[in-house]
Amino acid sequence: MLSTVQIDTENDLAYILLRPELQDRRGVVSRSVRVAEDFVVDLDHDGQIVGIEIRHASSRLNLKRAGEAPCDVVAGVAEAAEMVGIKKPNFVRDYANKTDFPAPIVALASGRLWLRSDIEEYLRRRRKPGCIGIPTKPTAEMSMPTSAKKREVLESVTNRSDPTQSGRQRRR
Amino acid sequence: MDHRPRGESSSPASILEKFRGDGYLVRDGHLGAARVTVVATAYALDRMTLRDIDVEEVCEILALPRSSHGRGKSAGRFEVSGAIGQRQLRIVYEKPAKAVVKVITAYQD
Repeated sequence: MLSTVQIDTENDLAYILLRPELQDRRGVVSRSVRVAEDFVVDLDHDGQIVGIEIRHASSRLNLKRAGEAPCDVVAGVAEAAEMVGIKKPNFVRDYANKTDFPAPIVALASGRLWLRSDIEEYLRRRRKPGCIGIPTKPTAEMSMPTSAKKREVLESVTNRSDPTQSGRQRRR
Repeated sequence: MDHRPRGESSSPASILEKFRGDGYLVRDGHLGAARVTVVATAYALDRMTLRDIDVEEVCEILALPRSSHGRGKSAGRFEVSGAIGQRQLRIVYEKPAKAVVKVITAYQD
């Protein structure tokens, strides 16, 4: 989702224009909704998001990177799932609805939007050694194909009992 | 209510000169009943264009009685909301000097 970011460094404001083609067009915003203390979302006549205004922008965005020509600043569900490295439905179940995952900056009927920097920070935190969550390196068990895992489980079950005895004999 | 933020010591003339140099819009207006110079940053002007808010409308809201102006969450920042026709507009501003109002942003409430 490429967007243009206008930054007012002096007043610590940023505006993420999600539809860069609308830049300099008068009156494309039909209404603005202050969704949080630092966020104002602009909607067009169809209720689609035009842009997001962020106050105290320096604490939420990498202003140097965001100020460069069109870049990815926000992520929808599909992009966020891609960042985490899982499928969209699993992302919603395992991440988006969890309390420790960053809150979306916008949650509308049409979907949720996150700041990429928030997700990146979350992933960085989770990847720190000693944290429960996404391991830094896949374990031997994780990297094993499913069929091999099943075979190993079956072998461990059969090894627990004496293979020479039948089920009825063991029960006696 | 004292609207002067801490450190408001620069002379209005030098501040306005700087703002003009930065390409900000500078014009006469009122803050409540007091005559002030209203400055709109380039960022604020872009937001106003997108949101179809005129400078005249901003000045009209700023001229509302000072009792309806409130302090913003950030230090030295103020907000005022008022109706223009069917629309309720909110203006966020600062007072960088005595008799100078700098409009930071404006949006439809």
